[in-house]
Amino acid sequence: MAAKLRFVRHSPLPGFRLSLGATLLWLCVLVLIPIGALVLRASEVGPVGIAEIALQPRVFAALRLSFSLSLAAAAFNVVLGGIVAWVLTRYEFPGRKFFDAAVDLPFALPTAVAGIALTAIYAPNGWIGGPLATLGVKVAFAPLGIFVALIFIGLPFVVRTVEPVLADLDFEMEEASATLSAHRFRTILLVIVPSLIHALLTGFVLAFARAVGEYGSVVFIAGNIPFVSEIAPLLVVVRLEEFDVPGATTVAVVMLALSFFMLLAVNSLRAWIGRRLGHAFV
Amino acid sequence: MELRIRGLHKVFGHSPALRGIDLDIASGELLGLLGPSGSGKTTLLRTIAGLESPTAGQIFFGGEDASVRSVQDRRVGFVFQSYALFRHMTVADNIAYGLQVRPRRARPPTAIIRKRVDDLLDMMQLAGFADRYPAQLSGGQRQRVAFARALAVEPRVLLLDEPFGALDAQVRKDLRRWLREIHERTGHTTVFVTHDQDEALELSDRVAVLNRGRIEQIASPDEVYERPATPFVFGFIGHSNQVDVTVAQGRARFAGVDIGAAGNGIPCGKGHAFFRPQHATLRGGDSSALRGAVRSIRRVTALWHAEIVLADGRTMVEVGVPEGAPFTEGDPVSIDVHCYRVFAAATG
Amino acid sequence: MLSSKVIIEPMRRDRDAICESPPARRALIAFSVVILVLFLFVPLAAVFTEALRKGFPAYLSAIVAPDALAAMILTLTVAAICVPVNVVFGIAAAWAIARFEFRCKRLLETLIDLPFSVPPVVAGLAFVLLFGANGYFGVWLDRHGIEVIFALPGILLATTFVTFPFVARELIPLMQQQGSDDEQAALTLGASPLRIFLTVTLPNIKWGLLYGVLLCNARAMGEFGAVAVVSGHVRGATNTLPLHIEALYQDYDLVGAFAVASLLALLALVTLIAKTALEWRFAGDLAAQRRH
Repeated sequence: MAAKLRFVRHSPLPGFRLSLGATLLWLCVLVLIPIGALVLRASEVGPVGIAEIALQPRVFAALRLSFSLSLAAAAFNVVLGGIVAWVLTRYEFPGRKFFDAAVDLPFALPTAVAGIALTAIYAPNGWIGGPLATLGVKVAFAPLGIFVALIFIGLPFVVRTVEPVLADLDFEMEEASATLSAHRFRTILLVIVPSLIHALLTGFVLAFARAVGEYGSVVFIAGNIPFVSEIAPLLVVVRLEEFDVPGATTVAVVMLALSFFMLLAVNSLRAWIGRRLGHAFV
Repeated sequence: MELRIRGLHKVFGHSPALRGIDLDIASGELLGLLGPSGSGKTTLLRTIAGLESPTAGQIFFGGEDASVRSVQDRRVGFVFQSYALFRHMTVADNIAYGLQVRPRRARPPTAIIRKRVDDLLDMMQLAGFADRYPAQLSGGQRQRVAFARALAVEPRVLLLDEPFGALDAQVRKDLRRWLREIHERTGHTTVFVTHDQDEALELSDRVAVLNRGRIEQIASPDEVYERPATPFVFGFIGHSNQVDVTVAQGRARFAGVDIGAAGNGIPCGKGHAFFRPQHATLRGGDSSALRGAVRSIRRVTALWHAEIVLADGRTMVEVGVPEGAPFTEGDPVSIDVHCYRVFAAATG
Repeated sequence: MLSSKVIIEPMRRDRDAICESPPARRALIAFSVVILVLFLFVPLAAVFTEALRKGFPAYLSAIVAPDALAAMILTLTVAAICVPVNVVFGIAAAWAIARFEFRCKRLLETLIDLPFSVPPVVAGLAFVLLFGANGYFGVWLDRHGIEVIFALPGILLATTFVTFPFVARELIPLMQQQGSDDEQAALTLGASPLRIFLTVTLPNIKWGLLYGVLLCNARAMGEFGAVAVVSGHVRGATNTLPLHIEALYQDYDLVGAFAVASLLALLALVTLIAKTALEWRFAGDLAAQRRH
């Protein structure tokens, strides 16, 4: 009892032990133990073994492909999503509410459905892939296709993160900038965008994290040719099918570790920016 | 830089905010725009700045028609009620902003910009704050940075939108004094908006009283207080009493009794008589024409006011009484009004 | 999941004086509409176009094929089990976190969010490492004749893992924002804990709960990566709808694949419409904006 009193502030409400206990139990069984198994298995491979496997050409190529395309797609989404968020927040036009609601579609659509749909569109005989093929651009079954799929799934993250911040933006700052003789483009560059950097970075992080681990949307359009268009999650599956558990575990753990460190770096940047602006991120 | 405004109209959607404003502002003048919410004072200020485009009318800066110029080209300094400082920039960068966004040809060298920023910081008593961020400043400090930012571009006109509205009473008082000093030092033509009468009367060279999109009176603070031109101004500035009277043959009558001359040019019919509590004295009995009974006596900041119900049983007036006056509730009294003004009742 | 409610307050100002010129505005609007149509509507249209490429009869027969029906039943079963389970957990977690102050609360919240940062395939792998033939419990399970991987339990575990945080993430900010005054009032009036929960808490959180259930369900039915790893890909037995789509696709039965996909696409549309309706009508009752 005494220990519990130090751990939790006293409250008249019932059910603390029950709810916390259930939560912890569920968390352990469903999340911690599986992740623990992953970590344990990776430690059995050992750091040397992990390094060896990670540096195998095929593995290295898959990791490099996944991370570089995820970064690129997330960066692209920051620009694209920023513009879309701007238009949806600032302008009135017929169907605006409809388009605003539609932005969530990649969230709601199962990844496999998105995967085959994107493949159909960008294949050499598809609606968009066809005309592009005559120009010599191959989208489906090439890294470019992966890039397009990652943009699809990442766009809502940026738009939804930026929209509320944009809506809360103090319009008087823009007016002040205008009275100080700055023309619109300058105001956007010097006043509005810096105010949005924190939200844009957040959207970037979310889009990137999702893109790195994305499987269903990508695996159909990618072509999956080792060294060329094979993403890291697919490699995990391939290794499992070959009964190469250490190999699969290594790729998985390296993916997690790399993502973790990148997220840590970007989140530190976000926190630093947040501190510089005081408690108001806007 | 003198300002001339001719026939300014502004309509938002279907609601008119400005209904024909004509205004001349002398160079170096400190003009206060005073009025209740919705009177159009902020709209007028913003239209001068170019933040709103008028529906009709013109604005002249000096001899030049400014209505054709965008806000960026008008070279006005605008200080917002909420300061609108750029939160992601330091104080120095905020102040330097107006100079740094100029195209390369028109931009002063960095050293000159730096010097100007430092000079302004000194003037604002914010030396040493150059590298702070707005989030680290108090309200009063932020407001002074906003001022400095507006002054840095050497504006032709300085426009202040309720500059002290968001601050504590004490800070407000200090800043009012400080604003007067700055104005005397720099000599910019300044227009400021306020709903606080004390501020308008204390600071302005002239006060423009606005009501529902029109200027009711524009005159010196003394003039506006002692010789209000319209019923609205009389009622809006300071304490006042309004007594509805009938005007006939140049005399005003209340509850059947002749209470005094109505003044020149007041047409016969309904009218309003206005007087201030301190321009009337209470006497016992029924020695004067205006009679009533004491309702209550209460303190209004430094003074005591007696609330009197007049003979018609409905009209209530307040009259100043000296402390310790021998009146209590229910006493019948007479009111001697030394100074009053009769206006014709508005016809619709 | 992120929700965004944009409230534009009308102020007495025309923004036109300093905003972008009308041509610039039109260009930006056109650009954004093109992007949204390109990335959102075209894929959706493609699903239905390809599904109906060989006509409606072919579409129907693909949908009512035995394997497709089995996949539907499996998907529905999985959702019917995972969603309620995660609702119970989510409520428990929200109650503990939103109503009490205790140490390590932030750690708990981070751990609850963990499934979001784990790639689905990795989640599936983790369960294989635990319950697979060579997994830590593999031998024990084999000895007792229990099948987890390549069977329904494995699919349930994987799906529950990836949909773990949805309900909790909706309820926690909502309950924090609402505060515990109502429950404390009920307590002073002598209500039992269960009664408090049923008659005070649940009604207060019902719209947030519905929203969380909606998102949880959409993800549970549509999950692909995690389930692909733990399922045996046995048609008619351990293929959920997304896996069945993959199977048909790999057989080059495009019409079949898209036909089944269209069902999930319709589900997505229904989810989207319900989600938007909830956001529009009950913006105040849903969670406050969450800053990551």
